[in-house]
Amino acid sequence: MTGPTITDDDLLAYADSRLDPDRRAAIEAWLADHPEDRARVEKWQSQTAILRAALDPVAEEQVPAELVRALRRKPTQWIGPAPAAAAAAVIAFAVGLASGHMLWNLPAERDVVQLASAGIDAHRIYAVEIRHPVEVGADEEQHLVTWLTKRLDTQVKAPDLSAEGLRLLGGRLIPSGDKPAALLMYEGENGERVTLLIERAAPRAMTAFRYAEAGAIGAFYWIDGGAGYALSGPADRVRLLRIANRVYEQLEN
Amino acid sequence: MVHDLLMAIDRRELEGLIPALRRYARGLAGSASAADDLVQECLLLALDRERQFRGERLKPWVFAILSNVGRSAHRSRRRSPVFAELDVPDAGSDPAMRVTVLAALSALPDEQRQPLLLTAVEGFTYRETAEILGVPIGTVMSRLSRARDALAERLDGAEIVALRRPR
Repeated sequence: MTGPTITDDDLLAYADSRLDPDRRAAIEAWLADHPEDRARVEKWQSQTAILRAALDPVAEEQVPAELVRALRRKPTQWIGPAPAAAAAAVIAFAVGLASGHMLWNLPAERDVVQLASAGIDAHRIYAVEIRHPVEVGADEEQHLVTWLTKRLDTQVKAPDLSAEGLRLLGGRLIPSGDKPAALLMYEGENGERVTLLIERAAPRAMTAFRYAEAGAIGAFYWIDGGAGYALSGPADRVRLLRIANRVYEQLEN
Repeated sequence: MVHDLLMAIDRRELEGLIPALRRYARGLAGSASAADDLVQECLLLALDRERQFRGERLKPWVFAILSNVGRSAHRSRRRSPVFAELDVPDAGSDPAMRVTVLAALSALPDEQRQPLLLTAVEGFTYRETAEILGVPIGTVMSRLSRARDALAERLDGAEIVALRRPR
């Protein structure tokens, strides 16, 4: 037989155990007849072993606290689904919105995705209201919270977003799919409006923060602690994330 | 119509990558303190660049950031004192052996050291390594061959015994 052409790349992939069985057998046959290449491959393999012996113990060391703190410096903290599943959900959402259908058929996932569209729709409809932005005003905050908690059958709190220059205008009861939801509205000095949709969710459900944008409106949405949230506002992702973090921190307990 | 969709980075997943990031950084920087500085800068950059994260696999994305941080750190640093400081010995590894290996690694240029560590130690495929480093896969392969031959020259004569068989 004429034999295959064996390149450095093949030898390297062989040494790194990155070949499929057929190719591997071909290289082995080659090495049997070429002692110089065999010596080179063996040297590479022992290099790999040496590098790992030198460096692997680093990964077993206790992680220095300041590195973990570097992550905590930014306030976001959440538990997410497997990234692939989350990415698939985002893609399904994009496909769903683009085609006008929700193709996703896992119920929990559909609920998550529906949060974003409910939040963005509600924001689009109510945030432009000049005279009647809310049903119950912030002057009756206690009544508002008690009423919405009762209707949603989950704890509703109105987070304090004054650190972001937003004051509570009040809230209203809205439909989200077939469920009742609360829509709390906040307003900034310059008239900027941000809404927080809250609805009941399965007690143990949790998702990562996700972001969706439709037109000029953006929303961060997530499920945590028995409720689903969608924070919507002008599509400025950085600002919305900061506000969403404030909401998350305050609703955590 | 949806114009933009993106995902926040899962902090727990990122935290889970720290041990591997520290291992890679140690191979890049040599000393433990310089390595952890690189990791810290990498983590902060990852959070700052969250906007650019599109829900792809987090691990290669973060390793690409660390590779960049390592390169720029190398450029801006005079490259002498890296091995002046001996690592605190830890159980299960021979500190003298580690120092020898790290010294040999430090003699390689970044463009060879990075693909070598990413494939041999971190276990990325050639394709993933090419994506992490932003170079064609053929370039990765040729740099790997050169890295391995150069490293072999430096390690020849050093009394190093491989402690484990390759996985």
